[in-house]
Amino acid sequence: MKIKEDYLLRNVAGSHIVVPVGEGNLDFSGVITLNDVGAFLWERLQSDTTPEELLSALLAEYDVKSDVAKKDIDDFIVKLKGADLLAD
Amino acid sequence: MQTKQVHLIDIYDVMAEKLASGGTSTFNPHGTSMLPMLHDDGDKVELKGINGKLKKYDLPLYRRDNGAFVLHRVVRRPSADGTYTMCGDNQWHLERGIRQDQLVGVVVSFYRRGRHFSVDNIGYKIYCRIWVAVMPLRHLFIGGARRLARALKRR
Repeated sequence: MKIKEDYLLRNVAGSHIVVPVGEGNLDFSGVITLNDVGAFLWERLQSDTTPEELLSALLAEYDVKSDVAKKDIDDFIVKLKGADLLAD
Repeated sequence: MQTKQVHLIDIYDVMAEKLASGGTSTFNPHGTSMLPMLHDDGDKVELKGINGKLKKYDLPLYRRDNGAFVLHRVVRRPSADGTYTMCGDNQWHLERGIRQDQLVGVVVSFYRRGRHFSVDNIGYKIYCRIWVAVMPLRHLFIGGARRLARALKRR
């Protein structure tokens, strides 16, 4: 499981934004904004990873209960799939 | 995770970096100053970086000294001091003295009501020339249209 490569994650003015990059074009007309946890997960999804690895990383980084973290990850993955942002 | 439009000030550094590397950037312009060409409800413009001088009818994004970003058209040939005279398509007051170092990028294509147009489109070129040529008369019909709209609203 991996994020498609034609997106760029940047931090601007304290916000995490994802910008579509296509054939040398940055499209700011519909950027995606992420919170800190979303950006954390997005960074890890830039390399091929699994939900279990995401959960381990999230629990190591944040003081959060395992079931809450797992639900956050599942919700995030559903949103990524819904927006067709995952490579597979 | 949400999608939203961002302010130019927030993305300026990223945009400038992309344009400097030879890429293009697309964004939604805001406001009514470029009507009837561009609407403030989803129309988009694609910018490229600027190498050399702009020409009359070019549509650059530039930054005023107060920090404001503006997308207005070059309506005169460059002045002897190399500065430009700009005007929005929905305006008639000229903005003189825009320097080369204030320019961010120039429009190479745009999406109007979902349709994509290159600035090389012949219809667009004709529009630019006619619209700039009638600039001295714009206040008559733009002002008249606004008065008519206000009168209709009062009824």
